Amino acid sequence: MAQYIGKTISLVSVTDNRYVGLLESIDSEKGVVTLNKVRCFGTEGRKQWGPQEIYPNPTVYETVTFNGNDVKDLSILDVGLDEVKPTLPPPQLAAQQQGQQVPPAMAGYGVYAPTGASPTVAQGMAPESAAIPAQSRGPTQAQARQHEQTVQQPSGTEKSDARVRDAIQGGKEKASRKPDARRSGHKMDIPREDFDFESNNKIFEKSDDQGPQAPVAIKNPADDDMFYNKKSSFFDTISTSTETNTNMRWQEEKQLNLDTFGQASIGNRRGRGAYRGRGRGYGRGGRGGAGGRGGFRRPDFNNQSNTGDASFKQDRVEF
Amino acid sequence: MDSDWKTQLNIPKKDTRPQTDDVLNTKGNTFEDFYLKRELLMGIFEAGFEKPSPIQEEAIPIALAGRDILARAKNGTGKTAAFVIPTLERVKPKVKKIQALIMVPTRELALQTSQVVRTLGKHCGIACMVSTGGTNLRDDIMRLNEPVHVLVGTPGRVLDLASRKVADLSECPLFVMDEADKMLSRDFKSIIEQILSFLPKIHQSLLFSATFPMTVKEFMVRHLNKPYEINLMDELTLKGITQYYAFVEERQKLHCLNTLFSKLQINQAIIFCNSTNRVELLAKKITDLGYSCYYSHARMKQEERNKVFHEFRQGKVRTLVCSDLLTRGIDIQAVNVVINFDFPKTAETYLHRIGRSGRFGHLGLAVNLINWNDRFNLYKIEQELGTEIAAIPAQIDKSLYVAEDNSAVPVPFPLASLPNTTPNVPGQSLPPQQTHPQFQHPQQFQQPQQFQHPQQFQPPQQLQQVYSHAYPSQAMPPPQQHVAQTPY
Repeated sequence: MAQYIGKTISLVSVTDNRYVGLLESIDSEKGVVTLNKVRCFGTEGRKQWGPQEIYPNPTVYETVTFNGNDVKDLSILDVGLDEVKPTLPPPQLAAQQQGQQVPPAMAGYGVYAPTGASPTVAQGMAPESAAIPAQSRGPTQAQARQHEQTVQQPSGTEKSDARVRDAIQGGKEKASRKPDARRSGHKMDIPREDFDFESNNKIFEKSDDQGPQAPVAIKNPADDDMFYNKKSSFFDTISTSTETNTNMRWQEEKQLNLDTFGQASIGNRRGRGAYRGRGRGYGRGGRGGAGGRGGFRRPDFNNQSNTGDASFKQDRVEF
Repeated sequence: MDSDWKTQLNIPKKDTRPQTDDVLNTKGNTFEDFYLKRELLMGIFEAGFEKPSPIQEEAIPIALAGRDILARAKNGTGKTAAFVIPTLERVKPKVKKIQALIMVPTRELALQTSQVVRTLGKHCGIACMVSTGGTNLRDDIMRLNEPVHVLVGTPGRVLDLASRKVADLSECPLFVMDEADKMLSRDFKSIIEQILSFLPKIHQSLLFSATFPMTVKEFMVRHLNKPYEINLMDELTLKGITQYYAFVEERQKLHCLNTLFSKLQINQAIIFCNSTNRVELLAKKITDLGYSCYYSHARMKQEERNKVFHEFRQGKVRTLVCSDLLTRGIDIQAVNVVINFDFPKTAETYLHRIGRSGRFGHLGLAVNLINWNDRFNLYKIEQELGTEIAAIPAQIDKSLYVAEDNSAVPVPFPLASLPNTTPNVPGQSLPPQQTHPQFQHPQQFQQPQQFQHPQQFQPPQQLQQVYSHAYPSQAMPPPQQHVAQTPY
């Protein structure tokens, strides 16, 4: 077997996922195969491109050990590791799948995956989750966490066909998981049919009646005068944002943005940090200290300090 | 000639849309009853004003009498003209001094208000200057070398100019605060008090808003002299606006909005989000859906904000996504729908947001997307405002918010000149609006390169030329981008 060490190996697991990597060792006593620089090519149509299909993932794992019982097929390829490409879905299928949710993990391969079915896939394949890093999973934190946990228990007690050793080691793990959790589903799925206002409002009204804390119960028409009554006062006592800051905290907003838009902020700006570094060479130095959350400065800040207006920065109230 | 000056006037087409008692419930005065100067009356009538609105009827004579005023009237019922008309009447063109200072909370509102001053004062020979942050201070200093009678501005810049003794307020007898409660919010209050120290001890103060929290009372006691209180608000909300909520899960908001776009008959709409990030995200998603839209928030460069504001006012695009930057005062008559994509947290913000539609007593619609966490705010705001926000029905009666004849909806006074904004630093960032190719008329946005060199200050004339080229027609109807396919 020694002559095959370092060769490109293509391995298909019992769950029809294909892994490609370089052979490190075969231990016939323990019955395990160890590969280096492993990529998972997914099921490549072995699930007939149905909802069970798992799509390729560009993440490279430094070392993966496979349990011999879980290996369905193994072949040695006479090509370089980088020359092996996953089988892509037929074009018309890919076209259909466009417009649906696209996990950006696939972007490296130019493949679009239907993720409508992803939660079920993820659950159905749960034992395998250690081996198939996140590509078929939804974007929620809970699932990401679940993945993390599975990865952290790579021992053979699970019925997994692979153990991802390196995946829990620092940077690699970050690289494989974080972008997925944060970026997946940039495209929110918007159903073609109209939003059903009536049935949604019914859900609201129903839960309203049942809710013991529903404030409707406390609502008393006589109280309405409490906040504004022309006859008793010129002034009102309605809630106002002129005295208190009603802005969301970034951690809170980030999660909300993911829920609403599938992303935390617009593209390459990387949120608030993006504006940093603008106006280099102008105005004062010493950025990042004062001024609100995260040392963020308004884009025009430095330019204005140029004109001497900076001493009145209270004018620049953010909304 | 002297007697038939009224027949010589260039009066715009009459707006025939129905109006509510919020503006119709007058005593029946006319503008001539106030003994205004002929030049001012000409400007008033040529702006399309016929009769004073209730707040104008009340405030103009008291202001002309020199009293301090605390005036409360609903959104879009004519407050701006109620203080601009007496201002113009009292300013003496031959005295080359700043004689009136009008303070507003945002730069956009300063532009809009200065335009009202210019339009109504067209024949008065009065010079109005607008001065806000985000523009070149040097241009402001140059401008103040020439006579300025009325200064409209935002607090920071005005304080800056006054402290540098560039703007001489020492003989300014008239101090006006629009959105007075906002001007006295914790962000602005100390600046306003510093500005007041530059005004003569004895001056007249006019404070206007639709909301007056108790905190204004403290300022009133300290700075106003026996203020005359005008309160025309029997209730807080406008009669012409129908308010609905639509219950959604957070992740359904885009779906819900998309359906609203297809079902509502939107003439122009303003969509509010609760953060600048969310404004940008939503604008991007709306363009992805195939609708054109603009967005604006306080973190954008001023020149971008100006362009968006200007073009939206002119009806170049149907939908504007914005933060609470544009919650107050913005007056665009063609807006018939306001959507709270994110429900606001306070009644004050809610009231001012929905007041962007239903301007001047016309009809409008406010749709609030409500998620499970918003329910308490929904109840709270309903109760505090003493209003009803009903569940959105499957069919919305068009007569509640759609004008039969849109042709006479007044286009806002064109912004004659936009101030020269601070030049860009080259290559630092793309103008945000250019990242969205679906936006309408992208070529009309000026390239930032034109402002590249920090030393290269463009004279206002040049800017104006670019704009007059870019916007040939004021009367252009809003684009038919998402006309309703099904009546809703």
